[in-house]
Amino acid sequence: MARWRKDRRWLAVAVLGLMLGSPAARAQGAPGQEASLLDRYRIHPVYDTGYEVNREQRTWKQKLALDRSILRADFKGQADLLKRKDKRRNDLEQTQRKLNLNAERRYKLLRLYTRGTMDRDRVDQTISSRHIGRDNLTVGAEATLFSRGSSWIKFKADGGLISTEEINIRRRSEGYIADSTNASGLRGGSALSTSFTRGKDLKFSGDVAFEGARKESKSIHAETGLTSLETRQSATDRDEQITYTYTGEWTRFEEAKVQTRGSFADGSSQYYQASQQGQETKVTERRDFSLLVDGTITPTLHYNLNMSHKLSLLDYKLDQRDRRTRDSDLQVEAGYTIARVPILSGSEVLWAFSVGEGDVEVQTGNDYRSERAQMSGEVNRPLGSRFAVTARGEIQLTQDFYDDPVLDQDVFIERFNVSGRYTPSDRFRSTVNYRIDSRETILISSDVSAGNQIQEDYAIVADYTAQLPAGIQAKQSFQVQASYQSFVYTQEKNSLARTNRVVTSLDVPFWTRTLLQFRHDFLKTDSGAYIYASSGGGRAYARGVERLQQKLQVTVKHNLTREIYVKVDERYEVTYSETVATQAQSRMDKLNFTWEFGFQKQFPSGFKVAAVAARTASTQEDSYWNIRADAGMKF
Amino acid sequence: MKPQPYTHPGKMRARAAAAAALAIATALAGGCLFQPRDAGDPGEAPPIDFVQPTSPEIVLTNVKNALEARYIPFYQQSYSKGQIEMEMDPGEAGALGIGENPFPTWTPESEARRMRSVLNSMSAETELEVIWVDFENVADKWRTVGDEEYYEGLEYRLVFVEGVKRVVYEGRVDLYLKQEGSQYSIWKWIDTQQSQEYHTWCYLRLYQEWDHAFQG
Repeated sequence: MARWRKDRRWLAVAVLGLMLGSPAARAQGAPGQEASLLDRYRIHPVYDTGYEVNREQRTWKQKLALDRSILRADFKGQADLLKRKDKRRNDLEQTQRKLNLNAERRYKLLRLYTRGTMDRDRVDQTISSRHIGRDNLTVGAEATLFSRGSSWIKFKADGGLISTEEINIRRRSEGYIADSTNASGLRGGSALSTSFTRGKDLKFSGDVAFEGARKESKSIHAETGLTSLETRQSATDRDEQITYTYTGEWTRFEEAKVQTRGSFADGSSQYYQASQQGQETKVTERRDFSLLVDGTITPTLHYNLNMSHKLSLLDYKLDQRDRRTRDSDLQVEAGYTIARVPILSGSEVLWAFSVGEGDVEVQTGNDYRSERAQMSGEVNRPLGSRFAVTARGEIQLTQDFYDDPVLDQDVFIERFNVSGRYTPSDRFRSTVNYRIDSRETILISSDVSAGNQIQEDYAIVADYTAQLPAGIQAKQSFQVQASYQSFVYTQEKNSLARTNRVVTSLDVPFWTRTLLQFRHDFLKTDSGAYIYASSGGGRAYARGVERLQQKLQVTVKHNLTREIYVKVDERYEVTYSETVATQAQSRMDKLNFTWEFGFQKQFPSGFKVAAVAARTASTQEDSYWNIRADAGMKF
Repeated sequence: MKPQPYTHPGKMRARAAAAAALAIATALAGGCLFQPRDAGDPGEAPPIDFVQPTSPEIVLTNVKNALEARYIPFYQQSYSKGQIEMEMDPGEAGALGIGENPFPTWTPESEARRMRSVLNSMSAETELEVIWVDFENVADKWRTVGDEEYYEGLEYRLVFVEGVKRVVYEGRVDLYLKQEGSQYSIWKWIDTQQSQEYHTWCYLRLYQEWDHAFQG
């Protein structure tokens, strides 16, 4: 509580500081008028702050940024502060502080730079605490070795100091376990990069970079409670990474424009892993490659083709999180505008096809391979200026292959959708949509295949939006849906769920300052067995559970001035359900009432502020606040 | 307007024909790609029933029944298709030396694969009990904020028992569900560790073994 009061004091100081600082930040006035302090030194910092309260969570963010140029040298700095509290996540209190300082000086073929960063992140919870600190100071130079037109070759080298500190404390019922590691040392890196352009249609860029670090670390593991112990460990941490990246683009022909990208990275690091109490070695490998070809074959026919391949490897010596993933994809899309076929003239046909394959090898689980294929087609047909019809079909198959064949499964999806749009005027528009979705899950092994099932959804949705006189807007949507679940081998488990839904909304403005919004949601569902009837051989539906849910929301917003508004919102929700067989009934009522106050303004000095405060009272939980406040200024 | 380059009509027809032939050939080749495998002759019926999740409580019951019966297909059906947000307790992740989110791209398939691995690591003698604490009053934890609906601070316990060996995972989850048509499904899981004695469900997902050595 005391800390919370202290935070409020800091917030008050920050706001007061901003308001007092604004005259100092004012831009230089008329001739003869004395310039502000900041003007005199040509420093114009930008400060932003945001504060949020949502139930038991509180977040306060602050950012201060400034830049300055003196004698061909550019300086940039930014400080970020985040404070977060969340009572529900074990009394979480987090403080993050980041400071970044950059300076560089450019000559004709040389750039000298220095960079400093300081990160602090502290998370305290009732059962654990974690503190991480990272400091980094880098000095470097980049030289242009070759330059002609827009082609060049550059070489960069930098190095500096690096330091990290990490403390983890886990509280137990008796005592605690604490692990801390301090490491400091040197880091260095170099990179050779090039960009090559020939004419207007060939571009290539690439670079190769190496980065390495060496740190001496000291770790302490301590336990208190029923047993107490302390162990100390000294080690040498190493990080090495080499990265190659390239991009290429060839756009000479309209029929085929080619782009390709690649990125290959290998890394290894050695460090002391406190949770494993040992020297950990982590090896990483990453390969990304993509090829994109697109073009226009004739004025009415265009296409694109996209190929990609990704590989990622994570290999630990101690930890059991080794993982190797590979993923390859091929996608083809084409679009054709029909011109000469009598009925379809003016229609657009879109077609897409994709195949992919991926496999995952994990140390602690089942390795698996997954294959997927998808094809879709779509026809868009405008019928005059008021009507349009769209039909879309899609099939998709995913096949999973495991080391343990009992887990093998295929999922086959078919989707079909046809919709019509009617727009007789700017004041009225309506759509009707009919949808069939089918999803078949095929468990391959005979041990589990009795559970194979097909889920089919049939739905019709119709909606309209109408602009009525006096600025009133009305919207309504109607939905009827049937969801069948059919078991291929155990049909006595088949079931059906039916849905009827009507959503109505009405926006009624009163003059220019007040808006009344009304929304009603009616949802009726029932579900139960859908099995063969013993008499007649047809299927019979036996309702098992019925559910009726209605939600009513009324909101009134009134703008007192251009900057200030007040809003009240009331939501009432009632859910009624009944189990038919037992006649067991239940009813749940919920009422929420929220009042809200909002303010936003930009002052001539450049100071801008926006704030919203809302208080909600509910029949289901304690009343709570929702507050958001943002302020910012360029001095 | 930029003038279009002139192309001979015969050349354009040839290009269009070549493109159409390529599309038809790809579509025909695609026919073979969309042929699911045949399932083996069915053995025993699924050990449990999957109840169509027309209310949030049914989702919780389906999760419990499917895991206890070790029947993953019904477990997977409780999760929304597409991307799922999975968030581990920051304190627990920190203690494991994990800085980044260990579940960056999570889907119902990823969830099913991990939980399959957990169930596979159990011997025939190992029993699993899934407990939603105070399930009778679970409706009291149901919240609506804007368009989002979720169970706030829903306590759970997974108890694995093999002979005298007993391993417990427990925590508190903010469980977000969404309704599509009549069906509810899980799309977001925010885990909170309750005590250092027990790890959370997210930890179990990470290590995929019911008796992973880090208990306690």
